[in-house]
Amino acid sequence: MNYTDILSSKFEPETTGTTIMAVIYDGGLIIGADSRTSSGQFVADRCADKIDYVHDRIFCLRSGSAADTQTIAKYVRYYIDAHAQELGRLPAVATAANLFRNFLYEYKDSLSAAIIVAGWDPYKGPQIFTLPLGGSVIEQKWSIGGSGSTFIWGFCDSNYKENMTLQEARAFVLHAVAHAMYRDGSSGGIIRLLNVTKDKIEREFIDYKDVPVK
Amino acid sequence: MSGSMYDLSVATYSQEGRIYQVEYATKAVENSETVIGVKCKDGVILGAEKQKFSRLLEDNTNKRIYNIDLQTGMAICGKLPDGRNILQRAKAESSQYQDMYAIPASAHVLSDRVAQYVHAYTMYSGVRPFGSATFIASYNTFDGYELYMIEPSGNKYAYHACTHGKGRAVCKSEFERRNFKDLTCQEALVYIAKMLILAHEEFKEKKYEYEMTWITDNNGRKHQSVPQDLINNAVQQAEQLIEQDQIGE
Repeated sequence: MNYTDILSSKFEPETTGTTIMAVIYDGGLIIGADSRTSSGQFVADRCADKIDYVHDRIFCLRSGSAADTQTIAKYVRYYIDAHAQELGRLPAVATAANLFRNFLYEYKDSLSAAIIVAGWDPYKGPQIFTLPLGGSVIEQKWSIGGSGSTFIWGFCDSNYKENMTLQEARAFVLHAVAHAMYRDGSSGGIIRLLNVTKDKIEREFIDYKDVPVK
Repeated sequence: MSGSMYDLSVATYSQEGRIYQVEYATKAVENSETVIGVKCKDGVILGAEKQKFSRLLEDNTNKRIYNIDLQTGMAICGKLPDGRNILQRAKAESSQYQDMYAIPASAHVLSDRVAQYVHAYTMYSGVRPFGSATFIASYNTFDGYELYMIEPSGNKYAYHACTHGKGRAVCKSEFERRNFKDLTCQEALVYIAKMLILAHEEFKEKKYEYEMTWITDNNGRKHQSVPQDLINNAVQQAEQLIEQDQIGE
């Protein structure tokens, strides 16, 4: 493929048309995401990891242009690392959210990125910050994002409860993401879950055969 | 102490490895009005003596202790204009830090930034070192109460009690005698006043004002001036204590 193909409208940028989700439960938070990266109708990566490490207890979920979100996440990871070194302790989730927000707001005309920042800090416990396209920040108890999220608002609104247990929250996220993958063409593949608590991080890989809705 | 040829520029070491210009800057601080910083059981106090060098001066203005942000204060010992430059820098650092990281700057971070700034002015022959030592007192939920002093050399240390200026020897000996960690800020005010009064023993005929600020559990952990009536009471009681000490001798 030569450069004229890239410049022409035939070339569609790689996006994480996606389903991403984060939910706070009693004692921590659960993060879930699908694994499809699409380039138009072509599935560029069927087993992507959309849960990006920012710091030991801070993660971001990326949706929109893969290039934009990966680059921003890389900068924020670096800034947070330098900041945590100077601070001498775990950074606040709000700090990471603010650093992301600065990018999304200042470069809103050039970027196509929406991010969910989720993590735990010793100051305010588990927190979720939603950063939509324009660069605003809202703190929420649960958040869904990406193209697949549109199909599960009803499901989430009726099934979310405050102070769920770990098992309830895990089941909630698993089924919500599965439902979105079922109906959204840009979401699919396997489901990745992450449990963030004060003491540890637990990653879970749900293979296609175990996805509850298919 | 003569510097001979090695004291003309801050960019020159002496043969013994000293930088005389920095030492001269420290001299400027040592010959100025005393400033004290003390950590007590429930907070931090900053105190400064101000000589009223003219009867035309307005009372209770011309401060030496300022706010950097709600919970951080800075006291200036030495040349006030130099100190105010450092203060502006500290305010900017604190404000930009909060803007970027969404949390207030802790004292150990802020004092580090200030120390680096002060130190930078000891590296180049085109500028002179700052002739002031600055004290930073602050509170934040994670680190609690903190007190730092930054000298003209750029040296910065965390203290539970520190002092600079003409009366520093007197204050240091009082620090040895009194265990401020066991006193509340309210109780410690008398001893702060006592130190500031003793610091200028020889110039008793001159008029002095005492400036004190604190951050304590009782004032919402904000950096604020100690109420004037408390300062006046502390000064009165301190004068009595000094009389008693003298009678005792």
